[in-house]
Amino acid sequence: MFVLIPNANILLNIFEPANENWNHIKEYLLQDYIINSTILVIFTGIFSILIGLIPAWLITQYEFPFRNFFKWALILPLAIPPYIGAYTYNGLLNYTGVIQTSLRNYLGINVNPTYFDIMNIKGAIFIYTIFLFPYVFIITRSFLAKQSASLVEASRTLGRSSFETFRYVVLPISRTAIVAGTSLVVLEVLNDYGVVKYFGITTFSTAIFKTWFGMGDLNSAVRLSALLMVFVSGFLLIEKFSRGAKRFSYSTTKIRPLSRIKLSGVKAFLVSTFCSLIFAIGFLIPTLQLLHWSWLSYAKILNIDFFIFSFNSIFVALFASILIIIISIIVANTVRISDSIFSKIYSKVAILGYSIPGAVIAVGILLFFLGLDRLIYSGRLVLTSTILMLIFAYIIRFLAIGYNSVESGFDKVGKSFFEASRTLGVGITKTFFKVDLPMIKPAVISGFLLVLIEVLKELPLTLILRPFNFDTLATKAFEYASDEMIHEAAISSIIIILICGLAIYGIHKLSARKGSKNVN
Amino acid sequence: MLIEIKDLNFKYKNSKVDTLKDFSFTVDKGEIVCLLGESGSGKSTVLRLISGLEEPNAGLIKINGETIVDDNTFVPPEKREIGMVFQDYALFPHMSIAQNILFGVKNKSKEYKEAKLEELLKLVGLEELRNRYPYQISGGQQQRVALARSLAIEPSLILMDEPFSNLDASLQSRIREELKSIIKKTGITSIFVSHDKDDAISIADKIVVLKDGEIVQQGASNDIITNPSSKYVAGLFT
Repeated sequence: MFVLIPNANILLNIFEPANENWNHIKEYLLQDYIINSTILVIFTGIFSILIGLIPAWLITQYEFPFRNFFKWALILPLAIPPYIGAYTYNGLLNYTGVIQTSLRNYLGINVNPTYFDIMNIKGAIFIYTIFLFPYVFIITRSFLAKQSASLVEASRTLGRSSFETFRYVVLPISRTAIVAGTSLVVLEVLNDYGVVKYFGITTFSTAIFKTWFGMGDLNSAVRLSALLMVFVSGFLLIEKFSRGAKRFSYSTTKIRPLSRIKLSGVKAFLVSTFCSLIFAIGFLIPTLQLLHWSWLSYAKILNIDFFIFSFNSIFVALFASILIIIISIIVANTVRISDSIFSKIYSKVAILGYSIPGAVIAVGILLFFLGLDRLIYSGRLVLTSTILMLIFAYIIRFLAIGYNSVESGFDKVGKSFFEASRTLGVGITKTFFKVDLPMIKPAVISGFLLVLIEVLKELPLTLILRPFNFDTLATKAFEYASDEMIHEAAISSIIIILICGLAIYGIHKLSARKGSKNVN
Repeated sequence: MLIEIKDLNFKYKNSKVDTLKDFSFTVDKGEIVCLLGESGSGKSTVLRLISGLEEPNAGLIKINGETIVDDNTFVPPEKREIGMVFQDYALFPHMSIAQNILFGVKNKSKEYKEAKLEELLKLVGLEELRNRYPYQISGGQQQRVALARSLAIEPSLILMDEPFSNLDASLQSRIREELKSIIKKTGITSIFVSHDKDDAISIADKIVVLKDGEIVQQGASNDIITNPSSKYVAGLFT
């Protein structure tokens, strides 16, 4: 039940009387937080649907040059954490950046620099959209690949054009998938701290940081966290509602891939260009820019300290990911075997963590550990601000990701192999290692990789909870960038992107193999 | 002659063997034809080629003397006006029965649509269910909705992929009779695919027996049953 800890702590602390600071926040600042967060969520949501769903549909329905490449290349923007994307794009676009200097030096055009200013809400929406849309892309594409074949074909034999088919059949049936993907995007936006901090936009996340670190006011930070949770819960309710209003699952006896329409000539060119453009903006351009900056700064950066914190960062990420996967397997297996109400509820609670923004979890966990220290070590800070606390926080926040992956693995395998093994006289534990584990291996590995990506990219939790003098690749990159040392930030960023990119490719390969040659 | 199919050759992208080899046959207007064969014989592929959901590697398909597929022509499925009843019926889950049936009726007046809907609901005997959703009706009813939906576009030809495979065995003979009477009433030319000799015997005027992508024997139902040309065909009808 430890996932509930942050929320429970926040609930307990909210009943303490408000201080003066809080009244000030409530009167002058709160409105801004709410408005900014709302604008960011709504517009990022809408744009993510647009550039996530359209390529998902094009790839499902049409055959065009580089289609197979885009199938996984359009997931790659997820390898770039939004805050890294934010400072990269700012570096590209500002007055001394490559775009404006080229315009000035080669073309003699002096543009109004405000055209290229992305350090504002619009810029933040752009950054979030281009680096988070893959959530919508992945979920809708896999839904369409599995579910749409005969419905789309039926629509075509009934004389409807591709556009009409998209509008009247594809869009309505994929609503659940679209909502699921978009809610991941929204949760990421509410969780984010790096982008808004860097761009100077005040949201709930930045406010929690500021009241706590800047003003040392834990009381108000707790209140803000509680409000943010109200915000998140409200959003989750809307999600449930828009999903459940009309519930239909179209189940067919056999899953058949949609026979794709081959595009040629201008149409093929346009579709490929469209996908290339998304790929370029979401991955290629920022990565190339970072590589260039790394080239400029590696001599200064690559010293023994750098290797130490890179190693720390990767070690902690690996350790946390392995722990999360082991816990996920234990919980999922218990739920599957025991089938009791209690374990069902438990599994639901355990995955709540992902919807709680990092800053809130951080506040909750800090309160919890401070309490523990007070209890056990009578106030000496022994556990607080240790690696242990940080890893504990990662587990709470990312358990859902590992758990979902493992659970879907168990779901696919079903229970009959387990039962067959038991009737053949093999015990639960032995059955697990001999039968279950080998069969869910792909799901376990991709769950592990997903968690690893998230932990490596994680910023707000780590910033608050890390031990003194402990840096991860993510915090280092963020600090350099905040200090206007963009070139120095590049190498850490590139390492994160490289590892995450490889992990994404690995997940793609695994799921391609798992899904057999039929469903692609 | 309504449909003429000549020397169709087809191979799925991932497959090593040809699914169809020099496949030719003709259908007269008003005929009910059964493509009979085991799974993997290529019978469903024939339907997908006629409806335009797949493009053949070579061969020719003519409907009413008009070429819809040859080396230089490929009319896309939405332009062919051929009705297709899918094996899983493929009813749109987010639309009511009425909306499903009228899905293919475009650019027509409201009165026309209303009249068409009434006519089709009456034909398939589902007047009461027009406002229900697909998941609220039985498998047999879903099949009739799918049939009504494909008839709504007034096709020259109806294709049915394994129309009885998703139904309870106990219902099959009754539904076979119902389907036959609906088709006879409309007088529409139809081709259906089955692996069950009983389907073929009770409904079809003409049977085409397929094995490994090639025609083993074709002819009037009675002829085939009484004079099988090979042991394989004889085996099918015992």
